Amino acid sequence: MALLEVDGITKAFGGLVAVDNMSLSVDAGSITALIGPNGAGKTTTFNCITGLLTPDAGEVLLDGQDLSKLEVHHRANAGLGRTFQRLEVFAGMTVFENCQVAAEVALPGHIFAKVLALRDRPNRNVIEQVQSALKLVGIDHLSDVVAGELSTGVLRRVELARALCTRPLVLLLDEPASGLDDEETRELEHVLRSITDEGIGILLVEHDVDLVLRVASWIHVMDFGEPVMDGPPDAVRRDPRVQAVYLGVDEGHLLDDAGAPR
Amino acid sequence: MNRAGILRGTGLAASILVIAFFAVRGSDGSLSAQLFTDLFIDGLRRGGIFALAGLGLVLTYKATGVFNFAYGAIGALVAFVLWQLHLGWGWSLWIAAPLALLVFGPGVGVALERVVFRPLESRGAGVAEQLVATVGIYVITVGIAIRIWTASTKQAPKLFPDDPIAWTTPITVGGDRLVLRFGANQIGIIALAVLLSLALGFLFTRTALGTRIRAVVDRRELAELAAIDANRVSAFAWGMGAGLAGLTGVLLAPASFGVDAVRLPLVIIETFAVAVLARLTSLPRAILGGVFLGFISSFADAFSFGDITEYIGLSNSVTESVARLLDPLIPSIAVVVLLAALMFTRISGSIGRDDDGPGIVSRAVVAGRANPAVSRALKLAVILLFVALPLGLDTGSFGFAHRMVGLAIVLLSIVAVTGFSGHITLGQAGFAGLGGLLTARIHAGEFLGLPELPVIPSMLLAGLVCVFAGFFAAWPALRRRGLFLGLTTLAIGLVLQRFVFENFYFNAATRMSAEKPEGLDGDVAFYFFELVVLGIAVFVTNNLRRGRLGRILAAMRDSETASRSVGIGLRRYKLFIFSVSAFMAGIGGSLMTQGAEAFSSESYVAFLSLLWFAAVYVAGITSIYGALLAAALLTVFQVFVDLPGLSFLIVGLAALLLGKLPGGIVGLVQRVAFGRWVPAGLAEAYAAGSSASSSEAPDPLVATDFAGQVLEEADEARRSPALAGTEGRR
Repeated sequence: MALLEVDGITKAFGGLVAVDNMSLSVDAGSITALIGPNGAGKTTTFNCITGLLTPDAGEVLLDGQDLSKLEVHHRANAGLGRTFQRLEVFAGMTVFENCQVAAEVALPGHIFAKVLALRDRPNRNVIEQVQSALKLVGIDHLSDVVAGELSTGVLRRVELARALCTRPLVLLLDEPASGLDDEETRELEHVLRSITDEGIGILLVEHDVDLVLRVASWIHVMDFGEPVMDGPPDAVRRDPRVQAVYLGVDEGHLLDDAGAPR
Repeated sequence: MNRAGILRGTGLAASILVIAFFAVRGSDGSLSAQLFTDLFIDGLRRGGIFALAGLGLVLTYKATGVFNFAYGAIGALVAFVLWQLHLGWGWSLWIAAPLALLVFGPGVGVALERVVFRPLESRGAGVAEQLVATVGIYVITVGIAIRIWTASTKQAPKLFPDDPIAWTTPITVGGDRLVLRFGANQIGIIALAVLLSLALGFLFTRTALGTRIRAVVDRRELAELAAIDANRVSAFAWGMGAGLAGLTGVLLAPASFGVDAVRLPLVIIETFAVAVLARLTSLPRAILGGVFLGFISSFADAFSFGDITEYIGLSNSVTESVARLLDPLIPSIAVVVLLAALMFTRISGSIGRDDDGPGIVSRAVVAGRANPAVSRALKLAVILLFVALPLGLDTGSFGFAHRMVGLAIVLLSIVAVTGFSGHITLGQAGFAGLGGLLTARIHAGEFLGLPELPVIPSMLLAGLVCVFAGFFAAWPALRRRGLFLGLTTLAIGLVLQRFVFENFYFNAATRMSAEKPEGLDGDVAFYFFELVVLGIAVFVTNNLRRGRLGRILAAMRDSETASRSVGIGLRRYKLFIFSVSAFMAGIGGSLMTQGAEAFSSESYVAFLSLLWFAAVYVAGITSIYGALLAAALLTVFQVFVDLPGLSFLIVGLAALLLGKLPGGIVGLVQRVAFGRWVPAGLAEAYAAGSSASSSEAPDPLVATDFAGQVLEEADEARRSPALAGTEGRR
């Protein structure tokens, strides 16, 4: 059984079905990708998995545990880490603190008593964990910079490091390569591989199809909220519907407006 | 209308009927058709005023996205102008009323749009900054009114004469003919409301201008693409909004306290209930909500809980004291409806999305990183000021010093909840007053049958009661931030003011004497006692931003979504920070009351919440020194600036101007030490924000936000069948 099992997620906003019966799975130490044009429902799928949105139907199982009824933070504590397409960094905190607050969530202790405490020393394990996460994504030299003063590309890495600090079983990455140049994208690829080497599963939403084809072991294609096809990179690369969208043949969307395949 | 809507509508109508039923029972238990008729007609009059008030608020909000907290103050200003023209200078009403209502009121709105809100809009200011701006305008307007017309209450000018018109109908009820009694006043107001509603309806549905407004309301960017001048539409909406605010003020003044710079705005603020019932966006709902509120408040006037318990046959000592507790709420039913509506109305997604945007302090914190040397110098200066102050004071001035320290603690509570955890609070005067009043009551042995307690335990107990009130503020904060939290906390402050401070049950006279702690009642001794309490408050507040707890609160402030996604359960932290803040405000208020040796409801009027918030925002909302500095400045104004209202003017103006300078005065001082006036990241962000057309603008946070928005909107456009023509093909 896969580490993360998503089964039949459906989400409608009013009459608009944003995600229709989407199923996917992520194995430990491997990358599953989710691609599709803007508005295909990828981020909505993410939000349903992490609990930011409540799906109309469908289940989310992580390592055999049913997360479907849990709140966002409980899902995170169970081992779902994520980054955001629209950045959600803690802009007033330093890069280090961004990660530290995530790494400290699991610490025990009566936190409200700290309001009367004379000292609150940071935990040594947390410091080491944050340092190694920052090193892994290559921003350890920026640890003391306030996040609000950094650029998008760097902030994407901050989010990645922060997600790693929650010690996730599965990481959901929402367009980690957007806004990166070729050099940075290659670095990202390297980072992604080091993460999977540690046994973490990754669910990747990405517009850079070349990157996806290189790193993913299984790819799901969505359009208009519906799963179009899924398969290993080679199969996806050969599929004419995918080619039509991503390899330069301008035929518009994968499906016509009535929802039938073209 | 969907089923839920019909259900809610039925519920509202049923609640009117129930209240009406109990209201119009005669003393012998028979229903009085005559009383019902009278109340019904007056309900229509009040409903007309409320509907107009709601229309003005909703119109401006819909067209510009700005919720105008200054609505009440603008309304009061127009009422003052009408008083000046008509009663002050004796001009004919036929000249004075059009000048005040059709020229001055709308003129204020248009001017505000041009001078304040258009620059904010083009700068890409968030909801939070707009909110602070409207609070600033509120404070300025009150300041102007007090400067010109002093703090005294003026007789309210009447638009319509009071001449009664009675028509005896042929209908006979219980042997008496039913009489329809109208005041010319009532007819005039009802007619005005109906005409204006119809005119607005016509404007929106039948004219080209209305179509343009609806286009801008719907999607400003797209409307601009279609060559609609969104700025002109905004100016129009502000003009209309301020005009209706003025009309509301003029119509409400005669029935309330008269034209009063502090109280009349708060009376008008009660009509925010209508806008909330309309979910801020629906003009027809605003009219319905206004009429609903009108009937409720009219019938409530003849209603008493005591009567009900008697009627049901449950009259005993417990229900009697409950009734005595609740009956004073009835004249302020609009505030209760406002709070209830805020707590229970489901707000549509688009407004929620605004609330999710950058928090109230997102810009400020980027600048808040202090140069350690400057921080130390600031710390030293503040400590010196507070400790050395009593050396230079004569006995007469100690009152101010005592008040300053108490106020500093109240302002610290604002820094804690807004600056550190990102939740706006506009009700802190309510908690402060509660702390002060309860300390006095508990100490006097007049609270819930408790024995007389010494002052310090009384103060702590009062603080604990404030914690419960704080939960009320925290509850909406569990779901909302920004505008709605601001409205809710403001409503809580208003309810406390009306229900507790001005309530005989709690406050036998509006002024109740309070004592200082035994042995610490000398001027200097009490001052140093206050300093010790302040020291503890500073220590606690400092702990709220240090260490693990501080990081969690700061994370919650910067992004709730991200906080939850890294596994932080926000609920308990929100409850925690609101209760700590309410406790501190209660303690501060308690010290203020002890210092003044009396509780006076005037000292904790809901307007002060706004003034204090603005003052802290100006001084530095993310900084402990900000709170201390604000307390010192407000006190200095009070002592040295004798001109009434001037301090409001200065604080309000500063709030408007400092919106651009993150971190307030403290942030400025800290940056000057670095030799840069605006923090680096922010300077770029502004540059990118002003040339917002480049959605691929590389770096700063603001720019990415904008890019994200564009993408999102592209998505929405693509999905919406109506916009299929604009669909972007890949």
